[in-house]
Amino acid sequence: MNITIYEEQQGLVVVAPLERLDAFVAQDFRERVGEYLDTGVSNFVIDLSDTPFLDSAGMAILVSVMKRCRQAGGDVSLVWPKHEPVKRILQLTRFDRVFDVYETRKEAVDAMLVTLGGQRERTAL
Amino acid sequence: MSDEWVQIRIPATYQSLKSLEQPVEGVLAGVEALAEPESTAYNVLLALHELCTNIIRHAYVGEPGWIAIAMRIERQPLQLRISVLDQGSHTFDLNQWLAPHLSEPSSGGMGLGLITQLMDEVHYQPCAGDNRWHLVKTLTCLAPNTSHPIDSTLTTSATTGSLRK
Repeated sequence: MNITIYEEQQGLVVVAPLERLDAFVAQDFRERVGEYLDTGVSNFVIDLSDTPFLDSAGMAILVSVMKRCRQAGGDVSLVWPKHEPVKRILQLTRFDRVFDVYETRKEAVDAMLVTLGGQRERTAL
Repeated sequence: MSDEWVQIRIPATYQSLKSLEQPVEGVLAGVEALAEPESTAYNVLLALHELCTNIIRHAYVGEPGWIAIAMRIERQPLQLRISVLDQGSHTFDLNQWLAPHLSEPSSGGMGLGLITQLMDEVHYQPCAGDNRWHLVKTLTCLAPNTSHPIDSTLTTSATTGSLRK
């Protein structure tokens, strides 16, 4: 699967699927993200801005990853797809009620890092 | 008055679903001044993709097979009709299906809910070895020289003919 993954500071991982996220690649995507989950990473930004197609299998993976992260004390934020029809489907399925969704990767990363920084300070006190 | 049927046959594999895009866009390209063509094409494609995914997963259950799809535009009223036939040995009991609330994302089961949201009619005739689905999408054209639909009553409504919720 054509996907970009890179590690931000404070253990945040950014994942950007660059092609269809559907039933055919869903397992591959789950495994790629799972590799990070298994090492203890629990905070992700999933950047859908260049994802041209997203089906229910892809959406289910996003929810599954989110649930796993929240159980581990972390979270998943999303970046809205640039492709308007894909964005509308995420709105139809109310993804913005369950996830924090941002217009750009930078906004999502910055917001997540602020949250992570705050968590670290509370832990240190 | 109707256009000709566009017929395709694809292997019952997830990998083959990419090939649905071109026929769907091709059929809709035959509708002049279609309102929101990009969204309409994507929504139809997604509904058909979800249906085929369900067929692969629940009708064939890993067995090899084919999915036959026929599409055509009907002009009075303006609609896209899609018929899907599979020869999977398993059937699906639509009457037992409880539509998941698309008001909250879930980690499974959203496919059929998406189909019923995106299409105006969904009909299913189960028969092991000869399962048939029929989908209908009402289409809207733009009035000449405007961005307004010609007939505002031709809007999408989630009428699911054969579903009992």
